[in-house]
Amino acid sequence: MVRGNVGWRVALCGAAVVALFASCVTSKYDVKLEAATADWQEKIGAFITDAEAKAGTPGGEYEASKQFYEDMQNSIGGHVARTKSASGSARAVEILELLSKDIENLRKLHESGGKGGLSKTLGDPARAAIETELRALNKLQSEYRAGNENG
Amino acid sequence: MADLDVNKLVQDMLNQMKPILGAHWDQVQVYAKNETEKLGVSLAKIQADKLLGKVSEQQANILFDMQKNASLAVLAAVHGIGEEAAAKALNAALKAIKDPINKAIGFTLL
Repeated sequence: MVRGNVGWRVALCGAAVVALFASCVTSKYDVKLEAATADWQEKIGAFITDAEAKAGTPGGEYEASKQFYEDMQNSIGGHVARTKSASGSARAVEILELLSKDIENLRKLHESGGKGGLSKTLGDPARAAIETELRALNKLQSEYRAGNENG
Repeated sequence: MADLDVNKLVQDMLNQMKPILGAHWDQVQVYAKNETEKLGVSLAKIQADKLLGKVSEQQANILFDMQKNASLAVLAAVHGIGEEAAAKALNAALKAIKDPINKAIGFTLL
């Protein structure tokens, strides 16, 4: 019985070592960025839907949504800084910077709408572009998770 | 304003991208085709919305910039490419369609 328990412990230790090596091999895989991407997808989608629904009302004007844009830029900027300081994926940083540019573009579109706010004519293509960038980030993380580290 | 021939735009863009992406072409061509199609459709939509007065010149420029950034992100995520090569290929593609687009849309978009 005791010998059996030792066997299991050795096997578990072996599995832990393998897992440790595996995590080293996929060092560009960023679980925090993957979670943030999912969070942004939800928040940006909900924000645009809400802004489009409120277009033409005071609640749909840019002034009422300033905080959202600021929060998004802070969140993306935080991940850019964290990825760079950890010598993480340069490709992830490139895509994050494109995402940041398009959050700024979305802000400009919203502001340009004046009292009309963010119409569907402006919001829908903007949403499609941002979702494409978030999918590109997801694709990259999937590659890294699978152990494809090049780039 | 002339109608845009999206299929021709796509083909002209792909013809410019292929030699730049060279050795990576096999792995990137599906993405390049999808993204040039999206750019072509986006340009046609912007032209139509501008004509109907739904978007201003400034908004048209922003919307196109967003589509361009999205296409750049997709190409940059393709294994082995990176943003620099993706940007070079995309800029060459857009340069090839610059004149017909600007003429069709009635202002300098590209």
